[in-house]
Amino acid sequence: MIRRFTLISAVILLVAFLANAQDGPQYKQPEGGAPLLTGFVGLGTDFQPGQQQVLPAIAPIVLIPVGDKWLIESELELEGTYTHATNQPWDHEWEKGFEYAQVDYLANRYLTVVGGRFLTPFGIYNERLHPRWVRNLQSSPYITGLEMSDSNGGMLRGGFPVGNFVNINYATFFSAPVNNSWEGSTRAAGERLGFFFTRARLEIGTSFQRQLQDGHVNTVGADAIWQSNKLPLDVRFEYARNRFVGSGYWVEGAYRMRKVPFLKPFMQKSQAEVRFEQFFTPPVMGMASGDMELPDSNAKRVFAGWSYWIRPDVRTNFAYGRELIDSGDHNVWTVGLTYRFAFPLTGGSK
Amino acid sequence: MNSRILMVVLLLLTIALVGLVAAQTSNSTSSGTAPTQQSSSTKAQQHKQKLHLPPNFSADDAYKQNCTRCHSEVPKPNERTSKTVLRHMRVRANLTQDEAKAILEYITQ
Repeated sequence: MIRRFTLISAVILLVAFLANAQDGPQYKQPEGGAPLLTGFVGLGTDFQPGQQQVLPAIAPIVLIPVGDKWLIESELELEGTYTHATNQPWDHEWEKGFEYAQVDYLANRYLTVVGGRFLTPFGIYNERLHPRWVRNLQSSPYITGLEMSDSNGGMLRGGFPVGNFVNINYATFFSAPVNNSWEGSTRAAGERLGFFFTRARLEIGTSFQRQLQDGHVNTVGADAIWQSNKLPLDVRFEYARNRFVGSGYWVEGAYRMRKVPFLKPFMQKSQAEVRFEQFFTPPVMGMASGDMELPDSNAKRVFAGWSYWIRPDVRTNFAYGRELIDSGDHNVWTVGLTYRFAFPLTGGSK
Repeated sequence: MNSRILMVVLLLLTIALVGLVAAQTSNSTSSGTAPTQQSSSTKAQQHKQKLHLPPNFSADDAYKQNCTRCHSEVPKPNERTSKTVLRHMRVRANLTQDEAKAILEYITQ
């Protein structure tokens, strides 16, 4: 196993250096940045009939640029779940783990080589939207439960323009199995390929990953993000399917209220959000979903939410949802507060 | 088997959408951007060409198209902090080097 992993790492590095050697005219890179401590602190609540949860979280991120082409980055996430069920005392647990701890090498204009522990590039939610200060609604979509969230291994990624109207972005990875509560992962390989149409402000992506342990299982996905050129409106969509675990999709719209002609001081810092999602269990339950936190039966859920930025780095969010599921339809209320911080660790006062 | 069929369908759908949007976008580019190009200064054009950006593409466009696609605007950081954040986001968001430079220009102006 170690030999194979070493071989793959060597191949990845070789590709990176070859690509670097073939790079065209070198641009003068900007002066290196300062090491940075960033991340967020958040507090969420989730109220459902018979159960109330308080969900504190802190996720410090350290970014250390080295020279012109290297970046060391790591995020530690601590998530608490304080649960109170009817006629039961409060119970709590804390999940601790590294979201990522990776070394990035900017090989050339179009290729970055990543090694270490990284967020698995599948769809748009896991890599881009999952931090609480970024996501529009506190609850994660159902299908995030069937996507791998973290991988340990190597990744090649980057983007390049094709003509003046489309940018292609790509990420391909291999992950080794690691059985560790802080940094566990599954042996797998996969990729995501995205096409971003700059004028239409539309990105369309497809994802694929193959689990290479405990039965070789494929998960496929598709995603899209569209930003209107005329309205302050974002629409996001993601679909994923694993024939042994299930399939589903979510679609989410967010409308920034800055053009609303009344209550301007309030509306300019507000955003209305709606998400609809469905999850379908497979016809034959081929694999236990284990700790994937997926519904046991077909389910659908709709959320309507409102975000308000007290400051650009402090976001509050309130949402009402209705979940329709075999175990009983019910309401879900969530409230959240997040503070995103960024401090230079040294030499950043300029 | 079903996964393979689905993958092929998704791939074909993606290619079809790529073709459709590409056709629409190239039409709008050729018909609607001449006045913008004419009004741009020669110096700005040369700078954009150096960055391998489209002639009518600004640093403002780079920021709006890439950053706000996923998150809201964040407080303006200082220049050295910005460079670190941009390097991080270049990896996370698969930005091209030129897009990252244009965004850095936007947030440090």
